[in-house]
Amino acid sequence: MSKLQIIDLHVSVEGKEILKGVNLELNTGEFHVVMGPNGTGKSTLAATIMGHYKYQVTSGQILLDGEDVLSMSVDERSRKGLFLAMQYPSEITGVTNSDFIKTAMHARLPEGETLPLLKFIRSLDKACEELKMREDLPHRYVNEGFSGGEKKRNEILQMKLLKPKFAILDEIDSGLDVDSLRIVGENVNAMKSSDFGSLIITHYERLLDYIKADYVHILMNGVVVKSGGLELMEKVDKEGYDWLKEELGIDELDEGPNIKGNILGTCAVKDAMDKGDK
Amino acid sequence: MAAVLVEKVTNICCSKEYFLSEFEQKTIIVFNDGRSDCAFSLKASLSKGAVLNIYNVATTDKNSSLNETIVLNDEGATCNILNVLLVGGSGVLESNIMLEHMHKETVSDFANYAIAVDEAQMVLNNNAKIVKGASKSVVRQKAKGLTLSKSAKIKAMPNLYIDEYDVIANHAASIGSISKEDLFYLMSRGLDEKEASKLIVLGFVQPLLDKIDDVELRKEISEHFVSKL
Repeated sequence: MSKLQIIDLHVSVEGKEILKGVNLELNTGEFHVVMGPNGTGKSTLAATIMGHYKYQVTSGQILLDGEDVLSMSVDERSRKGLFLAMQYPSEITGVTNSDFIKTAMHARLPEGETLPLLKFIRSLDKACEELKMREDLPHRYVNEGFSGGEKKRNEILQMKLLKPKFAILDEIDSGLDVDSLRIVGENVNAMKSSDFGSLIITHYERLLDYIKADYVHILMNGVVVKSGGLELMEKVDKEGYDWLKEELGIDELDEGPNIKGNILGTCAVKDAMDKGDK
Repeated sequence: MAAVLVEKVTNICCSKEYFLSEFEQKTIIVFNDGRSDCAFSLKASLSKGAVLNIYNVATTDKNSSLNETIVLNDEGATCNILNVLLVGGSGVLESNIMLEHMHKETVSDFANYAIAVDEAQMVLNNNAKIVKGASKSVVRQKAKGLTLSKSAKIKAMPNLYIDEYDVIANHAASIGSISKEDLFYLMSRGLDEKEASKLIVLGFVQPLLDKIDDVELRKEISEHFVSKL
């Protein structure tokens, strides 16, 4: 059994504080769901656990079985058993999916050991089949030309083969159609064991029709404001977050990093956007 | 239709001239393996319906230049050029390529993948000319550059000289270092930074290797790239 602890975590992006003291504790064998309105730091939390270069931890700790995760490099975190299924995975031209996964699996073997090729091919084929992915997938370049659903399934494929202790799923359900959602959900659910736990970031209850979650946490303004069981999620699904804001006396939500783009050459739109702001 | 001929040019300190007759097809692989400083020049002239593919490959840390002029003389003449160039050390590589569209309905497609490491410098002087009257011609030009150290330099000059209105012509150039986001993605799967960078850079070369049928040559080229990175 393993334990992932997030203790009073403060994180800034480009000088703006996004997470303001997050506390969470996960054990393997447990599925935790993190919900919350847009821009409250859910993806920041996911990316920070994995060590994304854009996020600066200003204080707090992340511990994996007591070991300091924040002092580890990104690849070390992966080899220690953390996995992040990304919302927008990169496309890597010229690198085939099977080469990439093989290299990643090889990286976690003890030095001097090699991965038996036949065994690798069998496990890749099996995982592809379970995720109902196209047969040519191993030979295609990583995520290049993949549809939104294929990219998400490819993340889950890697998770299945790399067998992490903790997988953080960052909105793995966004952009999935009903069938893909079911396939992804069932595959994640099937991983649940005393050696595997997950932190699932989502907007919708839908995914949780297939994934059996144990705990629900609500993140608002960079802190976990409420934790509970599935009843919490059902309430949010029916009533939104307003009741919680009232209960906690929050008037306005801090927006996350300002990512409003500039639109060139469409003054009418810009005008409308400006008005919309007021 | 004439058979597809493949010619390898591995001793690249030389000049070559080619004339492709009607509907002739030819593939030329020019491989500069970096044994010495050198200058290579090539001139080719294409007749009606002829197709010429040129793959210019270099893995060198010496000074070298690549000078090629291809003249598309008649309808349907097509030239595809793929440059995959890696320069290291304090090497300087200059690539001067000119595609001349002298007749209507001629086609050229020219792609560059350039990698500079250490103190190396590279100049990509890419030119295409479409003369008046060469209507319905198509020109595509692309340059992607990767600089793997702070002092490595790549300069791309994508030039189009067009004297005819009714044509399709595009060009694009982008130069940068390895994307941090891509690196993060690969590292988040357990690859260390060196391994991840190598995979990305070799991926850059892969579209070329996919095109070379000759297994021996493909292996040789790929080994050269691996050893320089």
